[in-house]
Amino acid sequence: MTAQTLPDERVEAREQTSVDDPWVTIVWNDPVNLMDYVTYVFESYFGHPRERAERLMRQVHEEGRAVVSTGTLEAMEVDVQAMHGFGLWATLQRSGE
Amino acid sequence: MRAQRRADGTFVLHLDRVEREVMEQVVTGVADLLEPEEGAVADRVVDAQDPAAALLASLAAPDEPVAAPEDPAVHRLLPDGSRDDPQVAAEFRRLTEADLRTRKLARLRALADALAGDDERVHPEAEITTEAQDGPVEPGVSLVVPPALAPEMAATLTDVRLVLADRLGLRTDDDTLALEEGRWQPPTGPDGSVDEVVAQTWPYLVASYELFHVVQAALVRAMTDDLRRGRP
Repeated sequence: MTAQTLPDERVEAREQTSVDDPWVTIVWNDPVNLMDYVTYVFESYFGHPRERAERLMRQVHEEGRAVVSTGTLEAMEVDVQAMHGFGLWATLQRSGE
Repeated sequence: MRAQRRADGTFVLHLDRVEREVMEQVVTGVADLLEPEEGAVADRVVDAQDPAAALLASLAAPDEPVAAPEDPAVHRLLPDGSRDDPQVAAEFRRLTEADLRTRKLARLRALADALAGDDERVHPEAEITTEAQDGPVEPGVSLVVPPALAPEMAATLTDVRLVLADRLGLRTDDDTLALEEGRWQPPTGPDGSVDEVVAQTWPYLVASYELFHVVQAALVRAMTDDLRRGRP
């Protein structure tokens, strides 16, 4: 969890435009995790800027869930396991479901 | 509890004797809960201190399905990978549970050992340690957390709080708010009475939850400052 690289900008751009992202990672709200901690996880693991991390955190808190990453099944398994490592409640599912 | 930073970024947590004892007991209790149940899973969880065994275990993905934990608190530490697709959830658990359980157990035991403060320290900069607190006013210990270990400790504190929250019956944000405002009451039976054992342990559970909450909040503040300043 501590060893991680920030996403390459080109990879991120490709992720955003690709039609080949059939899976998503969803983080669900829970009554225990601190808002600051969830923001920290989104900033440190996904390399999001503070504003984007806080927006995602608020979405989890207020709407009960947020999509935090998209990609292949294998990539989402890695992200979901990482979220579980941090103690966040995350699941993967097919995009658009 | 008092939290401090040293100039090198080391996070220092001053605990009085009761706080240290409570933390050690609770962290040990959570680690005991997470120990694999007897049976198929047990022989796949290996000593994280043995890299060769860990490598072998990670290469040998089990073929048989792994059942989800029965204890809801343990289930929350090792959640399902899917809410709506049992096949995806089963495959995710088969691939990841043993590794996740091993990592969580190792860092819980490391924190419990540090809180016990009685083991040999080979690489103090790579471990959470305790130091005796000097000063006659507040006897106790200082938990010393190198910056590189802070994220693992924060995640461990989350796991501990998740288990305590399950035992406290916290299910919603409103429940947690009630606890923070001192309004969270133990569950009552059909006749409106509270089980005697529950009534006795309830204040201890609530106080433990609050202590771990305060410690984690302080640690996360420091970690977030570091992250935004670009310090490793």
